[in-house]
Amino acid sequence: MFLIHCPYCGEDREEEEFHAAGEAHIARPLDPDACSDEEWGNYLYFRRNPRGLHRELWVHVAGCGKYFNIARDTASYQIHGSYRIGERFTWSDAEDSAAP
Amino acid sequence: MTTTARPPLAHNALGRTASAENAGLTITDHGVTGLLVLRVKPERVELVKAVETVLGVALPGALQSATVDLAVVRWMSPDAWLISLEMTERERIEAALVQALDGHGAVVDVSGGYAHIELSGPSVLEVLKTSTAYDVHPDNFVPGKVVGTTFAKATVLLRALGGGSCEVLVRRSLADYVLLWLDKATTDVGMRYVNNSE
Repeated sequence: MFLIHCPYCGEDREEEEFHAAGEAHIARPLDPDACSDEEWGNYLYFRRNPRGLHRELWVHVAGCGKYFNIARDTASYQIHGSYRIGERFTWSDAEDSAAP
Repeated sequence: MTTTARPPLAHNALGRTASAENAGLTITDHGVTGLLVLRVKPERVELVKAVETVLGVALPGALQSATVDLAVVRWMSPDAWLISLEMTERERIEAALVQALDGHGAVVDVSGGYAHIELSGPSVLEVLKTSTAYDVHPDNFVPGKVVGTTFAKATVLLRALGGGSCEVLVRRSLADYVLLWLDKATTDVGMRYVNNSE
């Protein structure tokens, strides 16, 4: 059990109230008709699975029901920040070299 | 319009009510109350104003609630509020809200979709601590505060009331489970069930 900050509720809440919803910031191809099968397949099915810094989509199911992003370390479980949909997150300078 | 809808917990009044005058937990069942879910984007200031005129109170911010004679308005999400009111008022208010939103929002009547109970008595805090992951300490869970959280395995909307009481709104299908949970959670302090729906 660990605490997650919900940027919409503005509070740290138990992990139990949340669900992970996969990798964040996946852009849908602007013109799907012009995609090759490989490009479309990559968009639909292929996800990064890094050991270390990662940006993820989470949803506060038991609370406000909103999706938001979490930047965390998949090895240490340390959460570096949570931020609203549409916002960007940048790692601190020290971490930047390791970040995607 | 009067309603004859059966309260979600009506069948539980049978035999389950501890008679203890010194019960640690008193569950007051408000039965079927009028409930409306209002959805409007908070940045649409003119719509929010129009809605607030209908309700007679400003839409509360994150984790807050507002109480007026007509209704209790609870924050659910940045763009959703749950309004409870008398069953007799709900159709009138729903129509007025729909008109105020002018097609750029939503009002959904969810009356009967939730069990509306109130927990009171000396053991409320202990029972809440065993039931929910949320920090219910009186310093944090101050009267008027509304949180969507887990309650045992169910998802509920909790609202802190004055005097250590707490309101629980839980989906009708899970109400029975929550009552059974509370029954177990109060084996050592005693539980009293009061039907306040008539």
